[in-house]
Amino acid sequence: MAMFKSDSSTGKQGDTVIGAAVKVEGNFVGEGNVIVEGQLQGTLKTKHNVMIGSGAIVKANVEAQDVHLAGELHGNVKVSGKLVLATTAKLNGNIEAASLTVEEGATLNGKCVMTAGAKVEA
Amino acid sequence: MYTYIVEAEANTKKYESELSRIESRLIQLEISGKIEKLTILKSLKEIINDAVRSHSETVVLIGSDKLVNDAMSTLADADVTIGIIPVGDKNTISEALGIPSGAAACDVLSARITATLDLGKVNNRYFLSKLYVPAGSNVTLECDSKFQVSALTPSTIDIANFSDESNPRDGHLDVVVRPEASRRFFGRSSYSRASVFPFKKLTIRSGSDSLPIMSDGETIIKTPATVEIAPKKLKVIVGKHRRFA
Repeated sequence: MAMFKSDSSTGKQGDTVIGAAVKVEGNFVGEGNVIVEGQLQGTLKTKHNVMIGSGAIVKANVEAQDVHLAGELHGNVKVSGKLVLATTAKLNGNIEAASLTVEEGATLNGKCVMTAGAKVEA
Repeated sequence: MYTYIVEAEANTKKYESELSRIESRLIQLEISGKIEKLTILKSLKEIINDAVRSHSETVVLIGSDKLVNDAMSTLADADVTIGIIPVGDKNTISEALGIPSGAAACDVLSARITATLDLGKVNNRYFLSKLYVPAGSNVTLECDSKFQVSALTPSTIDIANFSDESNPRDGHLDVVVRPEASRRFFGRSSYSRASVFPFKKLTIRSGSDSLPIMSDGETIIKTPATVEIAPKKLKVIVGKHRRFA
């Protein structure tokens, strides 16, 4: 996904990075892109994009513009733009998205509703 | 009126000729003023308060990052514009503000481009650039009373208002949680990616152990502590080549 630079050490200014060595609990409302490589439990909302890396474990409802999921997500996903389930993705929850891409090998257990542009409020 | 405050370390034989060049350039530019040299007998707080009482519009700090950091808590609540003339070895703050070292900084003062910057506040002490907490276990960060971050491995913590990752005009601070090297492959240290969280108010706790919170190499306070943004708190004279918009 071109929206994130995977080789950047800390993301760009204004981005939130949840690294593999931390655990976040609570209601997280971001103002920029959010990159998750560690553990998150609660809720995750941003008007921008979310990338959940292959080692990440997220137990939360997620609302964002675009979401790229390569890790494990237990919760519902609501995106106004694109949702991509990468080959390593495991999603246990319902989807509301304008656009959905499921790569071979991805696991999806839940209902899927395609919208013309689900509104995301953060 | 200008008040110039010279750091004790800059008021030594080593920087004598540099200070003379600065004084000459200030006279040429017609922005000379009262010069106060810090000594054991004259405290920085006292000098700044005297400058404010005597209606100095501009207080200029002549010295290193340490002088700038030490002056912040007093200057933050004063209605003055701040200038910096970097003298000495450690001048990362003035570099980021686009201010050249020594006498060349006088031209930046004279041009008088000002920017209003955010400050960070840890308990009751203000800081301009960043804070550092060395690695410890059981470190938790409560951000904006909404979510809690727990470090799973010993990690250092940087809290930045003003750095490569942080803009001092964006209305928030950034906390960077950086895991220590955990293992070595072929002689090279392997680091997990750092975590970054923008915030307005943060509480740092470290279990039963108290960790130092450092600024410019000195411990200024210990955990637990509360860090928050003080938006648009400081009016500073900056150079054209500053590192923020």
